[in-house]
Formats: sequence, C-alpha cells, structure tokens
Amino acid sequence: MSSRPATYIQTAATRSITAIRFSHVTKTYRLYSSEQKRLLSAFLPKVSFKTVKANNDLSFMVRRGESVALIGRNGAGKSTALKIITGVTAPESGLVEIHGRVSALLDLSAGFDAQLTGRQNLRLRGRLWGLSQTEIDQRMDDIVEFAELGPYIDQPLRTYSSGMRARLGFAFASSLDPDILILDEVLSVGDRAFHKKSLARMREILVKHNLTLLFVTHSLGSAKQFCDRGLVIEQGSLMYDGPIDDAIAFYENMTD
Amino acid sequence: MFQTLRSIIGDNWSYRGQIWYLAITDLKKSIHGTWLGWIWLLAKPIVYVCAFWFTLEIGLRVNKDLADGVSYVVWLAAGFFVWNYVSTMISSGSNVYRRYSYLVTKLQFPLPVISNFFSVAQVIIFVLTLGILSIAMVFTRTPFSIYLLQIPILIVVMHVTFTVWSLLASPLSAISKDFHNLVKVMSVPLMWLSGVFFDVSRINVPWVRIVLAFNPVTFFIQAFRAAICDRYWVWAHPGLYAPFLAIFIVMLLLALRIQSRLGKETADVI
Repeated sequence: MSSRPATYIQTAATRSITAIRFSHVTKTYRLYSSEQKRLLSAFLPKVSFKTVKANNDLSFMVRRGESVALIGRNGAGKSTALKIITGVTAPESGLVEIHGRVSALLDLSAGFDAQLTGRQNLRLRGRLWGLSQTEIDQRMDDIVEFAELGPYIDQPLRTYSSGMRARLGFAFASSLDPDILILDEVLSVGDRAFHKKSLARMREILVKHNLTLLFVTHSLGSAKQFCDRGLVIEQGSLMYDGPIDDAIAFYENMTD
Repeated sequence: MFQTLRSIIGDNWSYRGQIWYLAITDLKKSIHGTWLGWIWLLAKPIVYVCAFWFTLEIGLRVNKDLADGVSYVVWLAAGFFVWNYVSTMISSGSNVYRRYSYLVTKLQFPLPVISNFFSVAQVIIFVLTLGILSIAMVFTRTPFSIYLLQIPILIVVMHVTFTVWSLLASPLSAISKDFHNLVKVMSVPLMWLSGVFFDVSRINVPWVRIVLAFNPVTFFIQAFRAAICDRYWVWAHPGLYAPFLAIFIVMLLLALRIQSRLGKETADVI
C-alpha cells in the first residue's frame, strides 16, 4: 500500500484520454469518542481516535467518454470516492487526477441553499461554476422548463419536495455541458415521468458531448442501461472492474 | 503556516469575482419576501441606538464630555454600529461552515472564502449604518472633520480582523457545539465590557484600562469614535493600536494553525 501524501491534480485538459485516475487512494475518517476530544485535537497532538478507512488503496481509471457505474453496499466507500473526485474532501494518500470540468449531483440538496429561490440558486451556482450572467440567462429557460417547476422556481427551496429538488438539481447539473458528470443516487427520487425524461437527457448528452459519466446507484437496471463498465467497491477497496453485466453478476454473487 | 496563509490569500484572490456576488446574494436572502426589503437590514441597529439613546441620555441623564459640537446620539451610534457588525461576526461569523454547509459538503469551494464573503456582507450593512450616522450628524450639527478620512482604512482593518476571527472560530464551531455556544454566551457580556456605552480612556482603574486595551472590539469602537467624534488620527496613538496589533497577530497565528489542522477535516464532520 502506498503511504505517499495525497496529490490532487485537476486540469481542464479535455484532450487527455484519461478523465479520472485514482492511484492507491486512501481516505480515512477519524472517529473520536466525544466532541470534546475532537475539539482538543485541534490544539493537542496526542488525542486518541479510531480510524475508518472509507477508501483503502483504491485504484481505478476512467477514460474520456466512458460511462461507469460504481456499485457497492451502503458504506462501501462509493460516495467518499465521488467526494474526492469533486474536491469536497481530501484523501490522506494516493494520487487523484481529474481531467475536465466536473459537474456533480451528490445528493438531493444538490448543493443548493434552502433559503434561496430556485432561480436565485441557479444564478448562484452558475456564477460559482464560472458562467457569466448572460450564459446563465441563456440556460435559465431550458433548466426551468426541464425541471417542470412552474411558479415554484421563484419560491424558496425549503418549500420544495425531494422530487422537485432532484429535478432542479439534475436539470442544472446536466445543463452545464460538463466533461465529467457525477450522479449519486439522485434519479431514483423523481416520479416515473421525470425519471424517463432524465434518462433521455442523459442519453442525449452522453452521445452529443462525449461526456464521461460516473454513476452511483443501487438500481442495477439503471446502471445497466447507461454504463458499459462497472466498478464493484467493498470496504473501500476495488473488488471488481469489468463489463457492466459481469460487474453486476459479481456484485449479486457477493451480496447473496 | 506560511503555506496556509498563502493558500488562504490565493483562494480569496481566485474567487475575488464571486465574493461580492455571494455577499449581495446573502443579504438578498435575508430580506427575501419582506415588504420593507433593505430597510430591515438597518432597522435593528437604528432601533437599538434610539432605545439606548433615550434610556441613557433622556432617562438616566448620562453626562459625557464630548468634543465640541458632537451630540451624544452620534457618539453612541458610532460605537453601537461598530458593535452591530462585530456582534454578527462574533456569533454568526464564528459558525459559517455550518451556516453554509452546502458550500462545504456539496461543492468544491474554498472554505476561507466563506468567512470573507460573510464579513463583506456585514461590512455592507455597516457602511449603510454609517450613511445613517452621517445623516444624524447633519441633523445634530456635528461637524465633519478631516479625521473622517481614516474610516475606509479602519473598515478594511476591521474586515480583515474579523475575517481572521471567523477563520479561527468556524472550524472549532463546526466540530464542537460547546465552542459555538460559549462564543454566543460571551457575546452579550463582551458588548457591555467593550466601551459601547462608556469611554474606556476615562476608566480610573489602570489595570482594567490595560486589559480592555487588548480587546479588539474596544479598539475598533475607540478608533471609529476617534474618526467621527474625538477627532484624532488613530496611528498617532501607539497606546491605542499597539495592544490591538499584538492581539491581531496572536489571532492570525491561531487561525492559521487551526486552518492547517482542521481545514481539510471540516467537510468530513459537518
């Protein structure tokens, strides 16, 4: 196992064959027996804690244009890997390379502020993504129409149902023309009609933009529909990497 | 530590275009759906100043020797408006990672920028309250002096100081509710002890004066009153700014240490 310090490389290079590379990545969560001990650890070096390895020497590579499903049980380390890819959290050791712009939908809240309206959230997120006001306005109508929120788009997000949040989040994330799209279990929330619509949108952008898709789901049917390849993760480590049908069979055998 | 400082400055520089937008969005969020809109941002400090002015000058007949032509309400407001900014930074500014958890746990967003834009939003309110104060100065015929020119510098120094405070306290509040509760509990006594309602330089007990000189809140209240009411240059009084500088350096070093130890862990614990 590598013990070198973590390196995180993010480039906008879309000509690279590699979109995502994890090389011996380890992410450890520190568990303290109490909140007080965690506070003391900020000042004292010798405060005891337990560790849990959410990603343990995890290595894989995703090529540009590939659609890959991350499959695994709850707590297997899939979401941690996605958080590392999106730069939300940092690993202790290993090398992470991301080539291209990442748009991620990590959960239902979609990184939106509950106090802002849907429209204000879209403007804010657009700005954080680096879009100009004009570019945001150009996308706005399409996003609002796709999300089917009607007058709710000008209501605070706290008044939205989980399905409405997922619709807005997916409409936004998929409208950014990202190089890499990351979806973590978000499409299972909306109603059937929206689910169908989202799948159609995903198909469209996968073909049109040579998008790299990383898809975390417990719905093996959806994984099969979109992904050519599956990575099975268990206890933070890669157990299987191969064609999606074989990955699903491996996972089903493992969980039986 | 130097690397942490460089990284904090670098993050803020690369997000400089978004900081103003985020600050304005934050203010708009707080008044969204209200009839009176931006007035609500000023209502609390103005109402409080009026209430304190009535209680102290009219009710309790507090007498204070003020510089020529300075009215008591202007002197009071100059201190209270500073406190209004500081109190928000002490209580809410010390908990920005939980307040903006969507920026911490769902997006790749540099955490030091959160402290910065939150303080910018509060500075905007502070500048608006100074606008109200200047109207009060016109009505009370308080003279406008050349010493007012130091106000922009003081605003920048105050913004930097309490952004550093937020960088120091927010990771601790993120991992410990005890810490945040302690900060909240201490904020009201701090107001009474910081010279909002009295002139620290006139305290007769020397050691109390020395202790209060190391309180950054006291420094800013005195400094803004120096510019608005007492009419002197702050930098001409080392006894006023030297203790503040010492505390600022300690705060900065602590903030850098805490950011380097806990910064990367914050997203994991919220």
